[in-house]
Amino acid sequence: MSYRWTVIKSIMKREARSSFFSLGLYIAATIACLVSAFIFNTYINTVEGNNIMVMASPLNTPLFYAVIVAALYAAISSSTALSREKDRGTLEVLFYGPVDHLSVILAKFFEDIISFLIIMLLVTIYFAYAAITTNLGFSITYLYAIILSIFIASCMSSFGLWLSSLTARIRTSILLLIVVMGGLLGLQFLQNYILTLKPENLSLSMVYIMGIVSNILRVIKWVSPFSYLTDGINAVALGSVSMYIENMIGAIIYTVVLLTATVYTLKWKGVRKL
Amino acid sequence: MIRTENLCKKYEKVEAVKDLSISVEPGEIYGFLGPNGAGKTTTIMMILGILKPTSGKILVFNKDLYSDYFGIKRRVGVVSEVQYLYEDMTAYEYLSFFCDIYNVKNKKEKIEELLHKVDLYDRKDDLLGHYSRGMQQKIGFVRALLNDPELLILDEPVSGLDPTGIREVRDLILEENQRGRTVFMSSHILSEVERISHRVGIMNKGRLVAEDTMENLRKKLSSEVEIELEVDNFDVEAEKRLESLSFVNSVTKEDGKYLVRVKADKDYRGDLVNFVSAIGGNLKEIRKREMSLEDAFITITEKNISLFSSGEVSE
Repeated sequence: MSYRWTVIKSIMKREARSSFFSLGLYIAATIACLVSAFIFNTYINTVEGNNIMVMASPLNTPLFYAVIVAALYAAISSSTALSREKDRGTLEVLFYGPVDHLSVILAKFFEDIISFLIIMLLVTIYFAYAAITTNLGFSITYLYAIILSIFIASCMSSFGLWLSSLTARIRTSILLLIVVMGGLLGLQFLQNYILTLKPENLSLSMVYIMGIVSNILRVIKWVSPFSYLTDGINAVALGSVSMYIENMIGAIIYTVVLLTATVYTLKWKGVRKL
Repeated sequence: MIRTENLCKKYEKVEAVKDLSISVEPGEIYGFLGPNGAGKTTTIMMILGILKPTSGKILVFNKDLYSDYFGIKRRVGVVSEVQYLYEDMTAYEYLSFFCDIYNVKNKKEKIEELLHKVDLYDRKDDLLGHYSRGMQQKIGFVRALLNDPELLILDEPVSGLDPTGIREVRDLILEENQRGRTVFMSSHILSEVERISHRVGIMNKGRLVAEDTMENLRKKLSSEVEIELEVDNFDVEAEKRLESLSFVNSVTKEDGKYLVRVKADKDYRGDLVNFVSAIGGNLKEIRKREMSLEDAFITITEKNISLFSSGEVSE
């Protein structure tokens, strides 16, 4: 294990170096700041316009949007992490040496989390500046949200890595990510839409279809990393400790299962350049 | 160093490697020959654990790879035909990365020493994407030597290189072998393998069709031996008598010398000397013409596969 850890650290260091010198990380951080700034500005206008004197955790909603952007970056970057190396043949070369499937996958995973934390650090610096200039201040829930966001990012990253292990080309990985993410988001929107429908206004066949869709969604809830994101946001917003801990444990289990699946998929698909 | 026993790799309908049993001994250069698609790279990938064998056994340093994966891999250096480098890294950064992976102590000294050796020290800060094919191949060698491996596995190491590059790589292989490293080298460039290998295994269509020293391989493959004779005082009558000898298949004259093709069952040079002396000829030179590995390879792969496979050509 100690030698594997040396390998993980070496690959992680290389990956981190590559991320720091690429634009992607900074573009994601900029988008995260811009999106949260827009939401933050809306809040300020609301406070001013409605003469609100007290507002609970005003930074949380902008933070959620920043987390979504950073987590999406984690998913996108991890979804090409393995296929990019396979496509270029560099993954094969790594395996000439003392590198195994688990060490490569863990190195990519940890590097993704580090990149996520860097984006969140930049976002927090921006939030600190905004909190000081507006006098809205930080609340403890901000810290809770940041901690939980790491678990959400781990779900996104492990999901992206698993998708990446299925393909051998960068382009295919990106297409697969778009299709799968689009599908999962579409199903979540469908779920929200179904919840707005009143059963008494529906025909019998429609109720039957709704039942099937609900069952599918119940399964997908465990598969989609977005469920952990929305559940996490709800847990922090509601201030529910049990939901918060449940979300964390769920995210850990999800990550372990997905990373294990990635190891087996990579073993099955192989590391050689096609 | 490497031992495979009845190694097989099957892809749906294609059998890439069939019943391969080879043994690479410590300190030797083992040439693994065969035309493209013979199963050489598949075998190497199985030895490295990158491909899983369908059946059979592989031992590296007398151990199963997975009994000590990291330990065994740290004792092996690999150079492939194409280097697949991280083109956004400089040579120094790239080698430093692999030093970290192999946990090399004094990595700066090690990298500098090896870069000096391949004449790339002055280019150490250049991006690998700007390197020529030959330079990339050298970097591949440096990478493979960073961990002072006991075993070097080279997959088509000179393929695509110009003559100077080929010579440099050949010298490097010989030098590393003289330092005690065992070399397992696959190639389809026969002259290269012939020049440096102690033993050769020849693959064709997934099967090992021959494995032996160069000399024995040539012996096995020759049904006749060519002997050059330079004789004075040798007339047409003498030529006819030479041709009529029971062990002589044919006699031709080339550039004033006689090329005598004799049976390969024994060394007939003594008999020829006695014959020339008996008829009063003046023998100036007698020389056995060696069969090149290229000739042997073509003979094996195109003509004698069935003989080798069925064991009719025995040691």
